[in-house]
Amino acid sequence: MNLILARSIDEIDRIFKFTKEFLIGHKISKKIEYSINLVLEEIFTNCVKHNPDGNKNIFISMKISKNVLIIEIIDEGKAFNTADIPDVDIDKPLEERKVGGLGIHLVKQTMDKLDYNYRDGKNHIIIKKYLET
Amino acid sequence: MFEISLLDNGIVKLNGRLDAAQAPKANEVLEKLNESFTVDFTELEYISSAGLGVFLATRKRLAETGHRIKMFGMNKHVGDVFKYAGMHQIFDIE
Repeated sequence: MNLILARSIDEIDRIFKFTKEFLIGHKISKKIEYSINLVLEEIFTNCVKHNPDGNKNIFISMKISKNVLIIEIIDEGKAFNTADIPDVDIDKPLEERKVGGLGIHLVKQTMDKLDYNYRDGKNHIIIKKYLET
Repeated sequence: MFEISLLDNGIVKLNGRLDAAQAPKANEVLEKLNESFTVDFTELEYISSAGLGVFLATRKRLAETGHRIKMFGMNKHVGDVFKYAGMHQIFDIE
């Protein structure tokens, strides 16, 4: 199933509707549903922030194949390796904690695999979650 | 849908989904608070890093004057997001 989003934070509502629609007919726990919405929002928001002046849409596809949930987000524009963002040290004391930068950390925490490649002028972010059988 | 309200008893009540589009709305209320306060998460269904960021910024600002933020009523999913981000060590979560 596919979704095309304009490059605007106001599109987040459509992500939640898309996930809900996608999950009809699939036996997916509420926890996984929450995680899907979270990672889609975090990656989408990252794309919007990273390239706010881009006029291209952001493309999302989602499927389940052999008990693996596969999400691909395609964002046309300059290369930005999401998977390469350094890990956040969540044990730092309050005074050393920075506001922001937690989005990709949450994606890594909730999903099993995060891959990135850049081809034909487009960022491809591929996320996998192994589902319980 | 997201709602944030400051109740008469001083508790900040959240309702709905606190995502990146709604984070500025939460910030508008929280940035006006200058003393310790409590947040009721009972009706909050969802939070993302943008929502965490608003609370972290508020927590850091209040820490300068020795004030804190208490939280209660988180559902499991929201609580997990706080844990994944290490925020459970920074806030007083019941």
